[in-house]
Amino acid sequence: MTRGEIFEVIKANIGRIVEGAAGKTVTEDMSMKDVGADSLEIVEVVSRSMKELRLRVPRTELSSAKDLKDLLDIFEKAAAQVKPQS
Amino acid sequence: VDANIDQLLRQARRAHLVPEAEGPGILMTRASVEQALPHRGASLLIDAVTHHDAAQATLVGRYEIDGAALDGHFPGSPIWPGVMQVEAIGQAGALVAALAPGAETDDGPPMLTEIAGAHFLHPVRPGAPVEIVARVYEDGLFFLIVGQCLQAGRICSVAAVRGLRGA
Repeated sequence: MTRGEIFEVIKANIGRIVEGAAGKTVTEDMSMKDVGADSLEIVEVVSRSMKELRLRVPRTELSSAKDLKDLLDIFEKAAAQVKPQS
Repeated sequence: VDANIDQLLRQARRAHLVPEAEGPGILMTRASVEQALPHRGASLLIDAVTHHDAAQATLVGRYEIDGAALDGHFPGSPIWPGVMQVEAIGQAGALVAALAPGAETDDGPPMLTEIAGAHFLHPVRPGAPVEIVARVYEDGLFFLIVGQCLQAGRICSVAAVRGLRGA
């Protein structure tokens, strides 16, 4: 799974969950607050993205993310640790 | 899980979530509950736990209605407020989450984030203990609690509440 693929999943969930965010340009250097997400919407986007990507990340680690780049770094690292299914 | 909340609530209105909800044994006392939940005093709405199944993520708590919660609600016709019933179901679900295997490693107590639905079928009045039943469903970083308040075996209310672990 590439970083780009992970970002597409996150961006799709931002568009679906964050009120008024559909169609807005979202880049790595932005935070979800920049597109108007409230605290619950942020957790919802992260939770649904993790489910879709089949990733497990402790909440303590997630809470260190300040922007989407940080979140992508965390997801990319977690994805690298997932063993491919044989 | 979201799409099923209405269906789960409808089912909970018709049948006990835990068939053995009237079990005789006390598994946890109020003091034990206080070790797992941060609520204290009149805000703690579970006096004892009579059923807990970690595999099914179900729990039944028992509560004797506190007189203070009935003050003025209503004069001459006391009814335990519906909001207290929803809170009690939330506490029972939070207790399931707190007692789940691995919960000790979480970074804080569960926090409720949403009342997804609540139906009040019969008034809950003082004079008989309330059985508070909760079943918890995992939903990513969230968990969904579907619960019931029973009195003398009758389903008086049902509620669905979402929460977040270690908020």
